[in-house]
Amino acid sequence: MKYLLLIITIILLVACVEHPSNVTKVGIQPKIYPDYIGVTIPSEIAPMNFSLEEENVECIEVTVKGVNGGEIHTNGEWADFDIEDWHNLTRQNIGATLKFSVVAKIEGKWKQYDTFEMYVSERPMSDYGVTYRRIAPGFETFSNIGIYQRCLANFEEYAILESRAVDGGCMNCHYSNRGNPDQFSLHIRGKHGCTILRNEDGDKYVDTKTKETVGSCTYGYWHPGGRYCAYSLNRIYQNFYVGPDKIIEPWDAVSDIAVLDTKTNELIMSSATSTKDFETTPAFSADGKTLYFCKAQYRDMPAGYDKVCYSLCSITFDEEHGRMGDSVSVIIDVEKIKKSLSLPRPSFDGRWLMYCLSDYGTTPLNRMESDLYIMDIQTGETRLMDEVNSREADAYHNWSSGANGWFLFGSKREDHIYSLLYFACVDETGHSTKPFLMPQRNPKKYYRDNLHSFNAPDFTAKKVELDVIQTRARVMSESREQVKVKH
Amino acid sequence: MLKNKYEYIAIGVVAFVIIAICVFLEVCYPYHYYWQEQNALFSDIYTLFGPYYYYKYAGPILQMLSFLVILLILGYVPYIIIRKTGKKVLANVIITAVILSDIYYTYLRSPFNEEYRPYQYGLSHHDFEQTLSVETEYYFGNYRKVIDNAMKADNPNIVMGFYYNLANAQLGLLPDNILKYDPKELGTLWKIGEDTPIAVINMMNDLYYALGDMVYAERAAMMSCVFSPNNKNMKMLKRLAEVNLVSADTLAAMKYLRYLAYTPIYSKWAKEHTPGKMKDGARLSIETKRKYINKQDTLRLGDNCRTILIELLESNPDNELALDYLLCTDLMLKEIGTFKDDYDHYCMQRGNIRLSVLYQQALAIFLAGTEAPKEEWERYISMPDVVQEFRQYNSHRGSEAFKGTYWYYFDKEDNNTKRR
Repeated sequence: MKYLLLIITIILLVACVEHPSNVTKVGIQPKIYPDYIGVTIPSEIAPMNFSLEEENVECIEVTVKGVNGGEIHTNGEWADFDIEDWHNLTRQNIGATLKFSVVAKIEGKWKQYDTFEMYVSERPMSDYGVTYRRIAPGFETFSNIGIYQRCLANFEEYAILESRAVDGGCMNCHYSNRGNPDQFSLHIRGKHGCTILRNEDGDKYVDTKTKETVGSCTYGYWHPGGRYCAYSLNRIYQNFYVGPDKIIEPWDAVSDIAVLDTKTNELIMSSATSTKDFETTPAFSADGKTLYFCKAQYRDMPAGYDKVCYSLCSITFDEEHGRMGDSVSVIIDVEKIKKSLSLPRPSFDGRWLMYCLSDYGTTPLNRMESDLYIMDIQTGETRLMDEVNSREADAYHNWSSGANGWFLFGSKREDHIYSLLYFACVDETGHSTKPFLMPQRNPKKYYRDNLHSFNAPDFTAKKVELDVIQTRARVMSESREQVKVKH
Repeated sequence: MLKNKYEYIAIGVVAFVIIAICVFLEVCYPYHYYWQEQNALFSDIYTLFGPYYYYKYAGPILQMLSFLVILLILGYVPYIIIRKTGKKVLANVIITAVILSDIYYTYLRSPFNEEYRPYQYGLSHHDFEQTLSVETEYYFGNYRKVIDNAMKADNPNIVMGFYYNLANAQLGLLPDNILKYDPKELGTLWKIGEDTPIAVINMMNDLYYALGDMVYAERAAMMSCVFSPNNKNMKMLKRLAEVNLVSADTLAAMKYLRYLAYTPIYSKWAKEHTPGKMKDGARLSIETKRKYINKQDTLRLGDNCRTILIELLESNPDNELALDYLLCTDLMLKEIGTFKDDYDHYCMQRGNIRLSVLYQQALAIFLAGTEAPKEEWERYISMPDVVQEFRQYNSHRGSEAFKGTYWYYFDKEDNNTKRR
């Protein structure tokens, strides 16, 4: 019996390991999934595991050599690198190139491909990981959704809060202050709806609906000082398209901008940002003195859905007195080019502002033509990020908390429906490296089986700690601090 | 305690027999449609082999055999323990636990358990099987069998009524047969929402796909997955692939085809439908469907099926299935004026006369109600018998002898086409 067990164990151990023999050189680079050829990576990133795109691959053997030294191997159904070995190699080759040599057994024959490279950036990605909401793609409702965090140095994913924990309440985006999870905002909708606010005073469960405002706090962005958080107050509806090319169009019936003082639970309003026009998606500048937001001329909705075009605007913000300015400056007027600007995101070093443009509306990921643009805040020059964009929707970008040029964004380039996460790095000239898909242990299987969109992603400097039991108790208790408008 | 290893072998044999009986009950007692329907109409069941739909007998057998193998391995442990260490009590406890766990496992999935899935839908085991048979035959395109099975059902329900009508519509017989079955469920007044039963949501993609509205078919299929947490309903994923193939969204279609290609049941279908490698039959079916899709680029206000049907007919006047559903919905709601307007617009004005006793009877009601002149009667009523029978009906209004006519339905029967 014991010999039988030994034999079975040996068979299982060696079953997936084959060594190349009679190798033929094919003279081309392999087609790999995800397409990691020529990408630039931070040294801290998890192993860039990949498969060959071909379906009938029996085994692949990959050797990675660093120009500055070091070498790792993997052999199996897909390239699955050891995490520790990988990090030793990347750390040894910061600022240098990794050369990947791939030999694959396809239909019984071993083929050797030309080597391809990845470049290990000198810029560190100092974040612990990313946060995102995983949700079935935009079909108006939800079932089992949650806010998750993923460590970028390995493949571990943790739930921050799932809807099941709060009796099916839908969850909105998780907004932290420049990636700092000690200050975040998380909105829960439904019967036990509330906004969870965390700052240095602890967690608060607030009700942001007031009689004087058009809606509850929706899209948020923290002031760098940590006391204030800007929100758009939206009343959102959505309709389906008739034709098959586009599916659903969310739109605002009304929307304003306000800043919440998290110390006093007061909403700071301004007549300049609470007009009949549509104001949405605020974002503070790196120094906190300017509040960017998008503004579109009022239209009768939903009839005018395809004529709502948002411009990039700004208003001053006085942190000391907790006050917005009286006048709005238009930074990019898109009415003239009949495009709609969304999601302004200033880099934390104050140098760049990334945004996206689509034909109309305020939800760029629903718009196939949505592309990322970058503006030099100092010169006002702006450019289409050709090197990053795809034919499908690209949007929901955010900067790494380390102000090191790394950014992430969501893109539907894989399949037109499910938004996945990509990373890239902007250099001193505002040009970006080739984006790469978030690594997974077995990316081909993971993304093939995935039926969720990675929604509203952001970096997190460290792991988000949220006591789910306590959170559930407080959400279900319905004891809320009421937000009021500051007069 | 047992004395020698032969007694343990005997226990093993008894355990095996018990397990075999469990397997037999597991596989044979529930009617086979139940197993065909894993992950289909009602279910979000995962088998041990993952989210595979339509194993027919193979699914539960494989599932139970795996369970059996696991149990036998577990059962073998005490034997080794006894031989090596003599811990007989522990061995007997484990063997007993193994046998009891299998019995309990079988009980959980048997009709003797109150949590048995059909009961959750308010159906007896027998009705559940009959319901599934109708849905399954529709899935396989056996429309005649759908009608036969629905007619044979002991307790017809909305699922049967829905598929009975859809199968008839596929055969161009909806107006001829809709009054012959209760409940008269068309599905056109159903809406997808948080309160909609999952079985209804799961059926709606079939209706919209048949009608040619790919946006709503996609929405319904997606909602079916969304409303049942962790559900990777293979049938719905197949529908999502079909919808995107018809809409010529290759990227999205490939997403689902790649998924399906890794399931034993759908891999062949997925390969045959892969763009660029599509088989002739598959291509023809997709291209035929593509002719009927709605191409308008605008927002739909509300999810009223009447709006959807009108949009489909405006987009493609030859969509007779949509036309029948529009006219029949009007009639089931007893909205004779609306029916007449629709009939005029989509049949008379377009020269697309839909000659059917049902429509003729309904037109007779409108013409009589508006005291239409003889020329109007001659213009609309092409079946002379209808005029004659209508006279007879009016002299015995509400008589059960006329059951099965639209006049009787109009006067006497409840409109059970409800909004859900």
